[in-house]
Amino acid sequence: MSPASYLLFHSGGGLWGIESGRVARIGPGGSALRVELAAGAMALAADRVEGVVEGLAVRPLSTALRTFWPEEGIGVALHAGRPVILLDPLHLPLPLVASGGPDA
Amino acid sequence: MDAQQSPEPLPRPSAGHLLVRVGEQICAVPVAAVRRVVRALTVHPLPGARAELAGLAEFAGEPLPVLDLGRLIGAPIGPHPLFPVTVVVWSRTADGREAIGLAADEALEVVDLSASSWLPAAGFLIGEALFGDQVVRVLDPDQLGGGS
Repeated sequence: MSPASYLLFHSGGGLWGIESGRVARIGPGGSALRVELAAGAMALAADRVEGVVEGLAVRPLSTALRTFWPEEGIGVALHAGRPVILLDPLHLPLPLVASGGPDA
Repeated sequence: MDAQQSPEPLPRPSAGHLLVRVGEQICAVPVAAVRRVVRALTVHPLPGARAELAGLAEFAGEPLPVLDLGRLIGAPIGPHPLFPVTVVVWSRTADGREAIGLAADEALEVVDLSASSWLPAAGFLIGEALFGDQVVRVLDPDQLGGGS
């Protein structure tokens, strides 16, 4: 079984990750990037893409984090000393969802 | 055993609290819950978070949620607080304990509040204690982790 790989991207001042196999396309969108997910899921708005990484040590979201951040995620990890929240493609945080369609 | 119950005493903060300044307010954190006081950690915001959550930082090789202590205890703070100190505390949870950062202005001293007169308070506070002529808001770190 191969380790999970994640596409990491910056958005809204935070670093986020989503399983790379869920990503269908990355293209321009609005003032930044639009990360489109496979299987008709919504798209994410990204300021820039960090890259694809494997081997992240994923911890569950802490109780305090879940108390004060009402969105959902599959876990939290560190990448290059920076926290990254790994997203559930079926429950994307609304502040990260891209609005409108892809730019032509 | 005496069947006549005396009024239930107000819970009192135990001895040994670290006084922490945030804005013009002094907050007390039980020393037993303090893991470390460090120079302000670099905090990365989380869109959609409640105002009390400043963001996530890295501490001791682990992701650490950092809370705005001023907002937690209802203390007025300026529009652009710098918070040069992070107080890392332990919070007991149903599964054990977890570390939480508190963004603050200054860690002052460890004091004994056991003899202080104080009033109960709600939310994330155990109560408010009178220390000298200063009202000190006593934080309950366990409430931050779910209140186990």
